[in-house]
Parts: sequence; structure tokens; C-alpha cells
Amino acid sequence: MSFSESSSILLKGTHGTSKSRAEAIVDSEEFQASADGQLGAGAYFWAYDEDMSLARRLAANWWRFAGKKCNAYEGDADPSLAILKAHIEVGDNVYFDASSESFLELLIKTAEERKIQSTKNDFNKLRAVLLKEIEEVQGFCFGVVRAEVDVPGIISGEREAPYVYWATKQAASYIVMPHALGAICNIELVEV
Amino acid sequence: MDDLFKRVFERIAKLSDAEFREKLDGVADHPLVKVYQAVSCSWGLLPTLSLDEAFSKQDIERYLLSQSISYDDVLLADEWLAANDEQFVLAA
Repeated sequence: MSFSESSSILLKGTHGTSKSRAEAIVDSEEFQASADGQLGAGAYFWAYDEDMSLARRLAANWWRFAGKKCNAYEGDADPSLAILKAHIEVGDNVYFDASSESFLELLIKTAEERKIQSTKNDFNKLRAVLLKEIEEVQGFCFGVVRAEVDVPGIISGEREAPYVYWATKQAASYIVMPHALGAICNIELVEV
Repeated sequence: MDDLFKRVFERIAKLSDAEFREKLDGVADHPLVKVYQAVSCSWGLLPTLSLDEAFSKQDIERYLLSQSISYDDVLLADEWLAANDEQFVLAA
């Protein structure tokens, strides 16, 4: 299914990575699917609407986290921080909000029915199982999934908590699925 | 959409345990699973730690970052952890 068959949605996000990788993405004007990255295939963005300040800080902290914990940028010619911003243009029929009330209700109801044990990470897996079942029933795959995930209470090097920490302790992210990476456009480097 | 979700719930509910287990195991590398796995620890503090230290300190951070304490407590805890790195290594 084409991503432009329905009315489209314009999403905006930031992406923290190494300078080498960021420059390669900007030069090629596209994100490449990679199955061996820390998050697996797909591309991941911190969502923002008008004010990019929080999404930029989250992207920076992700870079610190991935670099320190997983040596994600080991071997890169320039592993220093770079932040990208991009637009994601996706048909509203292939955009799925995994943090919507209705999906959370389905998730919780199903977890209770199947007696999911979160200690085995099965709760996280159940989200994906439900998403795939929805896709199967509908007969097509989603290109972009919105998910609200935990944010850090402390941004390294900063003394003040992001307000989202006080508000919800979560921030929205966009997961662009491997088959939909072409929906990412207007990729630009952001001043760090 | 409600009807769609009901259909999905019914499909999952009627699976046998083995079939359901297979479904769960089949999505281990799904991006939606990976993203929640990646942020499931208190990753705001973790970057200051080495891998060797991460396990024990992560446990402490998870406790410290629970909603029952204030942000100031978290800042103090971060400073304490940073100041006691050597003690942690020795204790481990």
C-alpha cells in the first residue's frame, strides 16, 4: 500500500547519533534500514511539534546512553554527538498510535486474559503481537508507530529536569518501520 | 476501530498457550519491542556508569527514581553515586 493513498500526516522528530552517521544520512538524504543497530531495523525519532528543545535534549541523551552503554558508535570515524531533525510524511491509514487509550485498553485487557508476566519482557512483546494482529486483520502494515516511552529524570550535564519529567515522565517517539523509511524527508543537522 | 480491537482480542484469547508463546517469541526483534526494552532502565543516569557497575547501580537508581521521591532526591543520589564510584567497585 502506498503511503500517499490516504490523507497524509506530517510528523516532526529529532534523532541523536554520531557525527559520522548523521553526515552520511544527510548526504544520502535517507535513513538506511539496519538490523544490527541497538534498536534493530527501523528509524527512531523523538517527537516534537513547534518547540524542538526537549526533543533535541532527549536525542542528545540517547546518544550518550547508546555510546556509553552499548558502544554503539565504536569504530565510527567521528563518534561525537550529532542531532538530526526530520519530517515524516505518512498516510493516516498507516500511522498507528500505540499510546492511544483504546490501544492501551486492548493491551491491558489482553495481558490480563493471557496472564502476562512482565518480568519476562512479555508485556513489551504483547504490544508488538497486538500490532501485528491488527495489521493482519486489516491486511496491511503500519509505516509509523507512535509510542510514549520513559524519559530520563536527569539529562546529563543539566541541573534541571525537563518539564515532561514532572508532567508525565514519558515522551512521545516515532518508530518508522523498515519498509517505510522513504517517508522520512527534509533531513537536516541541528546545531548541538 | 473498536470492532477491530475486539476481533484482535478474540483472536489472541482463543490461542492455545503454545500458540501464544510462539507469537510472543516471534516478535522479539520487532522495533516496538526494542524501543521499550531500550528505555526500560533509568537511562538518564546510566550513561555516567560503566558496564561493570551498571547492574547494581541500576537497581539502586530504579528505586531512587520511583515516584515516591522528589527530583532533588534524585540529584542528590546522582551526586552520591558519582562520589562513591570507587566504593562501589570495591564492594562489587
